[in-house]
Amino acid sequence: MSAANDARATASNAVGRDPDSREIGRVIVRDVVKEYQTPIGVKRVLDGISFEVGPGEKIAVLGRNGAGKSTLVRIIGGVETPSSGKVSCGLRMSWPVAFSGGFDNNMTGLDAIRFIAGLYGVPREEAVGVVDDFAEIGRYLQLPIGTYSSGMRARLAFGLTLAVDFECVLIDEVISVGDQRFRNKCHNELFVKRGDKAMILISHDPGIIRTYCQRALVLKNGRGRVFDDLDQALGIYSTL
Amino acid sequence: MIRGFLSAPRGDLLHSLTVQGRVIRALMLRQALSRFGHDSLGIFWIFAEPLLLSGAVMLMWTISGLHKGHGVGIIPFVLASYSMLTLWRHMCSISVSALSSASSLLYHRNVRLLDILIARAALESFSGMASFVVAYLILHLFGFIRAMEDPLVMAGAWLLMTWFGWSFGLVVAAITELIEPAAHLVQPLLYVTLPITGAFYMVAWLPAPAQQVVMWSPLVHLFEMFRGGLFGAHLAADWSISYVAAWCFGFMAIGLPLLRVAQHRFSAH
Repeated sequence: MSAANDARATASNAVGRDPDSREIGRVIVRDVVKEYQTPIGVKRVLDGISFEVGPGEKIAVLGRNGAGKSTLVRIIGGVETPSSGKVSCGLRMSWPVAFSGGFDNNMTGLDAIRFIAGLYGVPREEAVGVVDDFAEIGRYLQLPIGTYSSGMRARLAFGLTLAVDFECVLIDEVISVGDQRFRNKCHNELFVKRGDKAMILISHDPGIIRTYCQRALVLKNGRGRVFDDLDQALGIYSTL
Repeated sequence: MIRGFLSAPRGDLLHSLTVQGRVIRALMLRQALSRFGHDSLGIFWIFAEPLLLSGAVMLMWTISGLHKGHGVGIIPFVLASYSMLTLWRHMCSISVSALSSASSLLYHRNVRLLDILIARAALESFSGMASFVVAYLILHLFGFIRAMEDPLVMAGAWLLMTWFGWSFGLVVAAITELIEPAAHLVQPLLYVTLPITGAFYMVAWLPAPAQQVVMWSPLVHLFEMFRGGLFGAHLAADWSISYVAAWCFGFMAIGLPLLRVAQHRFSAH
């Protein structure tokens, strides 16, 4: 059986992501190209995207619908691999904040917390405390997620992101659900309490971008350029 | 990448294995919850299914008076074959389009595709074994099945079937992702290949020329081994572990690179 185990260990690395990127301490996206086969031919969704994020740096990603933002998120998140180019993730990267696709409707809120705590090696009680504190769904935590309203789901998913100590937070569209109070709370947790974390922030909100980001990546038709001057980036974005 | 794997510092391997163990445990728990849910009825059916089947078969054979076949009771034969067959079929069907159903979990950076496939297979194997053991114990208590002759051989056969199904599943997962319509062919294929699984006969019951043919099938070896452990010397059974292992390695050698290609082509929408 040991031969089988060896084969499996090697194999899991062959299919998994590059482990040698750990040491670098930065998120590096280099010359990433993503092409999809479609019935009308090959479509190039991302065309040579490059940028880097160091510890504590915050970069905004701007682009109209269809510019390739979601594809970029999936590639940075590790769900898809680039057709060419390389993503190396030297910071502990979060899943997209408030993304709830990984939970099954049969799981209760508590199950979801235990799952995340198990995956990331966070003590369970601590994780339950953080999520319970943030999501304010109380005893609903004991019910299957399938019975939740969309707002409760979002609060749970958001709370789960907070339970793990990430070095780089991936944010796809800051909180489009929930009421004003919830949004304020999210805002506080992300940008005030986690102000020292690196962030990749996909947003249409010029206010947030101006306040928190140092740089912006502007995407258009799959091509991208990084601007150090936010006003210039937002200016170009508004003319797209 | 293997290059990175080899150049990683020493302590890293141990650390990676610890993380992998933790991840697989969490994934198995999640899988169990999503399959069986929280109401005990979900788990109940896992155990009830083989019992119901055994009961129905028992009834049929008793009524027709055919239950004294080749010197072994029909009930243990059916229970053993059914449990093994269920494991094999489930291992195949959980692999169909496995990439698509696993993709949302890949956002968690320490979850890799293989972890998901391993966790699923392990859960499938474990729940299948539990259901067999429960059915066996109940039927044994009522005197329908005599004691296992060699539980270790049975456990070995079960593990080997898990490995075989898993490595075959890699190929299924890759192909059904690369060529989507192939997913529709898996169930018919499983059905058509039923005769060469060895679920319905012992090889010794067949005429000699047929014996030579069916022994090419690794599945026949697995079924023989499992029932060999159950019936011991009461039944002539023949199997080769190394032959099955060779098939497993073969499927892994095809499946793993193919899965990598599939993962590269994969798009989540």
